[in-house]
Amino acid sequence: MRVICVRVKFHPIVFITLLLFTFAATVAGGLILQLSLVVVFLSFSAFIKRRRAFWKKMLTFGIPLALVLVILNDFILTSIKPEYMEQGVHYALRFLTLLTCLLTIVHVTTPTQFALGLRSLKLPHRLNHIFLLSFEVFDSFRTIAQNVSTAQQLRGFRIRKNIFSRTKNLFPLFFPVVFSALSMSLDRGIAFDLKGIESPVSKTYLLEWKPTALDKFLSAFLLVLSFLVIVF
Amino acid sequence: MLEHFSFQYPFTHNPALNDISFRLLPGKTLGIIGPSASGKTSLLYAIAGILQKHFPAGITSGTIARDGTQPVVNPSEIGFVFQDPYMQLSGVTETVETEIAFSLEQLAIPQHIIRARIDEQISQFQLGHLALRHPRSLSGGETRLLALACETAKHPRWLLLDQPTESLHSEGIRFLTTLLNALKLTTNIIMVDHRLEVIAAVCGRVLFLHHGEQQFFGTPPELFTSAIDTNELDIPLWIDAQRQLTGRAETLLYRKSLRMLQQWH
Repeated sequence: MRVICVRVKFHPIVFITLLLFTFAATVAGGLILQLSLVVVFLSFSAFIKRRRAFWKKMLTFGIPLALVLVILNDFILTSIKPEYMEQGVHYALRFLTLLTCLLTIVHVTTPTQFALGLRSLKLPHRLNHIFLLSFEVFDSFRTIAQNVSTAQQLRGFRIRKNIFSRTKNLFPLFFPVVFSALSMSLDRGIAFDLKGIESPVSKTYLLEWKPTALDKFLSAFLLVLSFLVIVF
Repeated sequence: MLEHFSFQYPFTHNPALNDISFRLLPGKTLGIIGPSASGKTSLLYAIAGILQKHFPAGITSGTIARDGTQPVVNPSEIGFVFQDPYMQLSGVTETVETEIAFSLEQLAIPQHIIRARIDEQISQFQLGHLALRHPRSLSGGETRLLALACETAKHPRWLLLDQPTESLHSEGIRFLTTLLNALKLTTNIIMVDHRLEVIAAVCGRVLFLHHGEQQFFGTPPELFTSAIDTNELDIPLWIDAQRQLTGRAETLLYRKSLRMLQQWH
């Protein structure tokens, strides 16, 4: 039997520490650090995707999202005044930094590889179970959303026009899609149960993906960096 | 073995299963038939112990036993193939081989046995050409075979199949029928299907459900000669034609058909 080809260069432990570092940077870092991180993550994602459409999509979604976040944060800060604008930008940037970090991770790995790496960390089975099922929820959500939108389009429902009409047209489909996905996830939970995922015995793994020396070094480096960002 | 078993799902007004009673002797295979929403899948869930575990608020009455005890979800003892095989894929494996290994890994089966079982299943189900394909890239029929291979790899005592012939072409159905006839020598099979010719070829006993109620329990030839209303069932064309022509199961050709059915199992 051939061992599957692992396309990802880094073990999930590196991505987990990268998320930790990003979180530390958003909490303790300044505007320049956060802006730099957003640019780095976006450039990295664009480099991986190698498509101009990626930038177009990011700008289409990113700019309205940033504006909404700034306004929303001002609103949360009770009044829209110039002195609160900087704080609003700061909060919005925190969200965008974490979002772009997650985007980068999503682009460089797959749920399968992430799960494969996580289980080598000897995490509790229940945690792995939750992790696997949560991916299944997203997968079900995506499948159902695609099916529903295709079916609705065939019946004459106009979904693809521009971003605003698309959002407006997709709104009525939101609840059926969510409830169908949740129902499907319950069935998948039963299927997982019958596969013995909740079995209390310690599992045996056919393939294991252990962190390499480089993975360990990078994780340690990011941990130290997170600590330094928080302290200084 | 079920005795006056009934079950009603929470937040519903009518029972999904109503007063079901039958006893399946060891080594006999059971085919459950009936129109849509007649309680076939619910009965499979009850036998697997899923109803009792995942719908604890449901109303149960009567008794149900598997191997003499109350059924519980025991993955090493039960292989269950769902109506939608895509639902059964783990979603975290990248090849057909590792998908087969997934259930075995959960049961802590040693690595060398897992490898042997993968080879065994791939050869038995003729999945060699698909072994390194991603499970999500398979067709409906191939995924169904993979789901069945994953469950039989556990070497379960009970194999519960919910419409295993759905989305299979005629050659695939013939292959599956031969496979199930081989599997039933070592495993107790209970299957739900709409294709009576497959049920007749695999199962020694048939249970006919309608609106959650038991209409018939007996052998396939007994079903075809019985007076029960089978209009909603896909009776094989050659038997149905005879029934239409004669109105009674007494012609020479009809008796010959019954002998053929008996020879199949």
